[in-house]
Amino acid sequence: MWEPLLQAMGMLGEPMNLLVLAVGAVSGLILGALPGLFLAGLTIGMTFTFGWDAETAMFLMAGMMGAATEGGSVPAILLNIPGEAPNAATCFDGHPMARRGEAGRAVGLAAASSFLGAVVGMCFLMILIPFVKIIVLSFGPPEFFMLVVFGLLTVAYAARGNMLKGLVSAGIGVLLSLIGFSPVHGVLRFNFGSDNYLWDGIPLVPFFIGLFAIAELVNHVLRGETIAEGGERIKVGLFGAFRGFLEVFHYKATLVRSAAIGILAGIIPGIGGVLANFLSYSMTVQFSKNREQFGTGNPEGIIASEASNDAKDGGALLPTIIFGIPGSAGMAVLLGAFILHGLQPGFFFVREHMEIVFVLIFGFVISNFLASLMAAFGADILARVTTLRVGYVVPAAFLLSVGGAYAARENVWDIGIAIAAGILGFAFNRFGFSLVTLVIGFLLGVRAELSFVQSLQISAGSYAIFVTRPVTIVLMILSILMLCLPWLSSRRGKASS
Amino acid sequence: MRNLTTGILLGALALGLAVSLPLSQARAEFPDRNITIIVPFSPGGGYDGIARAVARSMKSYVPKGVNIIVKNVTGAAGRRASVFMYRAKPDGYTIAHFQASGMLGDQMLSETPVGFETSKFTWLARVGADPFGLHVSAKGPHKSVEDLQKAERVTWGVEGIGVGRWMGSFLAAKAFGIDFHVVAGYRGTGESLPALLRGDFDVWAQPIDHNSVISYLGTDLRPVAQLDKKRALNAPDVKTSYEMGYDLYFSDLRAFGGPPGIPEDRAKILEDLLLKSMRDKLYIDWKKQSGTVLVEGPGSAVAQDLKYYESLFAANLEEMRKAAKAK
Repeated sequence: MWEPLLQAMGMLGEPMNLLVLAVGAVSGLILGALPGLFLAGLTIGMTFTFGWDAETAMFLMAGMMGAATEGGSVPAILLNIPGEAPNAATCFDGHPMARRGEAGRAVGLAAASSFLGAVVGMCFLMILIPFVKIIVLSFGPPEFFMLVVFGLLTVAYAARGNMLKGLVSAGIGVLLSLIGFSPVHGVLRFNFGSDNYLWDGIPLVPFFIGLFAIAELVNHVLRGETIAEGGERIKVGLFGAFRGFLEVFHYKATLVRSAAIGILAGIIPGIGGVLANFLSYSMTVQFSKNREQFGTGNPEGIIASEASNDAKDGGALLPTIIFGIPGSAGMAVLLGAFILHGLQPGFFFVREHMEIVFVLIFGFVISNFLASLMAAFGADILARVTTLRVGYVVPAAFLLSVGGAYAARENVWDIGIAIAAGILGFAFNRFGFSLVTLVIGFLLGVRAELSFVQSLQISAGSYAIFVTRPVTIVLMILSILMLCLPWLSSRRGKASS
Repeated sequence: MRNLTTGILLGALALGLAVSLPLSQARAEFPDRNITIIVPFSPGGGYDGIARAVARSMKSYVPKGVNIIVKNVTGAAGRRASVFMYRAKPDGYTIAHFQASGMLGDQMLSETPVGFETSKFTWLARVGADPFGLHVSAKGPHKSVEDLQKAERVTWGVEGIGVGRWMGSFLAAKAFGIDFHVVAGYRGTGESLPALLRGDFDVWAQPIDHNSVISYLGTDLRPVAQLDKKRALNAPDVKTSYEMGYDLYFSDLRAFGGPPGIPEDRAKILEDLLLKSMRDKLYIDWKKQSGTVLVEGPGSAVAQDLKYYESLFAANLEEMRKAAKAK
């Protein structure tokens, strides 16, 4: 253990590796902030590492990946455009805070949450390495189905105010998620006659860009003036964002819980950072005493989103290293870099290449630190965007959105999806339907179906599979407790009054 | 009259030279701009890795200033890239690294037009063919093909109904006389491998000489058959299907191809370029490092392999379609 640690520290001390790490962090931060471009940039970065030492290559990969989600939070806060899909939930409270004139504070909060989330994630990575085989092998389709049911129940809490509208939104999300080829049934569903465009379902990046960015741009046009209401921005000064940075420590429970959700989502194959992001947000709403403040610029909403999406990297590294299962598209490219440099993932990886694991851990943490620092220092300058007239901001943001929707897959139809999702998002906002529950339904619906059918394929059609395995029983009890929680808390409230 | 004849002859010669010079120059100059290699799957996967390794070696064999660009056109389990390539300009500047056997299976199994015909692509070079093996979990109830043949219900793990692994599994089950029920929906090797170890299903069809499984052989995974005439390098004790008396060969046929109608001279240049790149030390070292066991071949080898798959699929098409509908 100590020898590879010292080896990795020695490598980190080499000026070339430090330079590569810094270049990775800067490019990751920039690419993360530009919707739809990060994956292409990361792949080009991987190609650059041909002929490099494996360790130096890993510093570049970790540098880029560590900084990207921090970069993605900036447009989410300032313009309601998630730079990366796992930043989508940051829009819910980050952008309203920016509209209140506190963009600097929001960027500071996101920066600190990202960094601390990454640190917690990497600490857990170290602790969990000996147990990863047990964890991954404990989560089969029945456990996954119960976990999804648990996630869907959080919809009831995320609906805020109008339960019926929240459930309708979630239902629409579930229906939209069923579009595409069903691998378990072998049929194409709701494909509008196209044999390949909707095969993989509605593409996530343009869908989110439309739902959050384009819908909000329409709102800005209708409201006029500036993004910050009344054109007033609370000046935070060069170091003012550090107020947001330090404020995170007031919400330690939210930070730890969100990081834990991120880690778990990273470890279990198939969940992914986007779902972690929304589950963490809706769980935070559920546990908060001030539920009605979410969606209006509540700092806890930003922490929940950003801590989970950075912590998930620590979790996702585990199955990538041990099983060669990439937990996200970024991890798939990292896996490609492993193979490119002759590093074979598997149970023996930790025994044979522990120094690479440490290189990645150092790389992720330092990159997050650098990215958070850059974002916090730049917060005040970046926040000026919110005081520009929408006549300047909206056309540029619209081009960025449309470009991002196209860039992810270079498919012109994706622009159509983004615009259609923009209209849907605008209508939802206008008529008081929840976007949070729509997205949770969208992310979980098809997974619920898949794991349910897989479970029945395993058990030859017997439903007993859901109630005879220890993990499913625990998850079922947790789901029942979650359903009873509001009733129990109202009883406790009545008893105390 | 003589002057006229001489004039006509000279004119014809000049015209001939004028026509042939640009053509021979074009031949000599190809490629004079960047070549794009399309990969139908996501960055980081096996197909992407090989395309990038070939591109890196190929750079040494193309004129200065010509770059080899790798581009991922993903979607619809590779079908989007196949359609994209089928419609691409056949000028030799856009080629692809295809899963050729899977494309053919997709085309034949589909009851509606898929937008391409596999045999019409210009096949340039074979990257290699990974023969499939049948694996069971070392801790599972089945230890051999005989155990599987005796079992009343046998489940096979696949990505989806009708995809390449599903076809290989179906054909193996039919040839060996093993029950065939699928557990579908796993996203690639990464999800399927732990699912087998977890006991989600009984059998998993996956090449034995593949970097994704090598480190698990003998500990967690038990290969029980190799669907080839030759035994696997990494499991020399495992019998082949032919040794067991079942005539079935099934592999993942990886090949470089271009749109239909690439001029012959350009196709030949591309074939030479690709073969040189795959015999280059840089590429061979990468193959060794990454544990990839692939044997390259010319474009004609791809066409020949595809004929085998065409007859194999055709002979089983109705049953495969029925099984796909029955789930």
